[in-house]
Amino acid sequence: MNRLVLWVSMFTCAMIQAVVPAWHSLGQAKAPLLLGVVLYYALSRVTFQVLEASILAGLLQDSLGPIPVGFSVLAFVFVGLLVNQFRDRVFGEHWFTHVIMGIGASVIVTMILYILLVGAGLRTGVSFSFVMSKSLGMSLLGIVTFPVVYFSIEKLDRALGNVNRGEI
Amino acid sequence: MKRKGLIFWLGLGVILLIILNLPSPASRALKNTTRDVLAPLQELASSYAQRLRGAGNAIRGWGGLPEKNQELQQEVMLLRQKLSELDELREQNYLLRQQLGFQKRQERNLIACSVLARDISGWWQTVRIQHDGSPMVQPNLAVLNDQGLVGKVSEVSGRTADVLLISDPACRVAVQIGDKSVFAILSGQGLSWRGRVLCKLTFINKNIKVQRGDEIYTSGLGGVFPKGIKVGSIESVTLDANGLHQSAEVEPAVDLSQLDVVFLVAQKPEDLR
Repeated sequence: MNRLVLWVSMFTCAMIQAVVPAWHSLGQAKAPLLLGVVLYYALSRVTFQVLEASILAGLLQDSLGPIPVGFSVLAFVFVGLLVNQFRDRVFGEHWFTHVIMGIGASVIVTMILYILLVGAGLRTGVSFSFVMSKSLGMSLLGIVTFPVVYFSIEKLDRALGNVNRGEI
Repeated sequence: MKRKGLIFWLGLGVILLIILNLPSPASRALKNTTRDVLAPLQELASSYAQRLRGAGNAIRGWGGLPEKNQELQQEVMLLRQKLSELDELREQNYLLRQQLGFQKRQERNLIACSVLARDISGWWQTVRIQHDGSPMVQPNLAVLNDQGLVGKVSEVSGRTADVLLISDPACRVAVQIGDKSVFAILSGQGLSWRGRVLCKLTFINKNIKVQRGDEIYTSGLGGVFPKGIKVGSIESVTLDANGLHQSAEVEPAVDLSQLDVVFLVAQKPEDLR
């Protein structure tokens, strides 16, 4: 059941993320729904499940766009494991945690992707100010989407009888 | 315990290295399979998004029946495209007669495709379209709608294709300014913070007078875009810092934020120079 929730939430979030329009005024930022799923698993599950979620989210994002396979995987795995390190030191179910973690994760993922894309010569014309506004845009969208994604998946988990955070 | 941790990190590193260094055919196969498997879901999501937009239009009193409206819009697009081709044919016929030559103009073969989604990451200016699996759909085909040039096909899978929009910095188009026989290169500049699409014309001969409002068409040079497709019009002109060429800002003819249906131009060799 755990895996079912993971796959359903991943595919649903990927579909919505692909359809919703980008935020033009802030570096073409898109609502980071897949990153939201990774954060949910990072804050509520053990390392192995975080890795599973990060790799799947990364592969989905890379496959559904022009980014080379592996770039988003690397960024999501890094952020997922980083947040997972703090799992026992924060109030994982509190919306404020999601907001703070969401802002940090959005900035880190944007920066990692920027470095990888520029390093590979795929986005050479992109200015640093564009990346900064993109980070800001993703953070702002993350503030709205992360709590929603977190509580939606948590509700689905509970409805299907999956173990909650305290029992893991 | 320490040994277990080391094995974990080593294993993870190896997995990431393998994913990052997947051979090109394997990477393409993975992408294509994922896209084709998810295409029906994307179609569903896209149709819901369109219905939402249609419902919004109906509430505002614009719409009526959204499906019928969309059908008519597609028909109008095709008819406008045909009309534009006829205009071009008439002009070309006149020129050729003047030169006492004759060259039969081949009719463009258009493939209608619906837009499924936009780039999921927001790093590129692309849209994903759905096609019927026709072998004629290939990378580098020109994409247009009734208003003008949209972009070119960048990647193709069994049922979907990615279109690189003219607003993307990686998309370069060889163009001609109006009837002045002035050639230049148009490149995308992304979007302004207000969402306005920006394109720039570079390497315009400084001795030729180019002004705001001049229309831009594809020149047919470069081997990707057929000649005579409207691209946009000039917004402003500046002299380059080195004083050797002029540059111009261009307003695209197509509203790239409102793409529902586009047409791929199945090229014939006669169309390109």
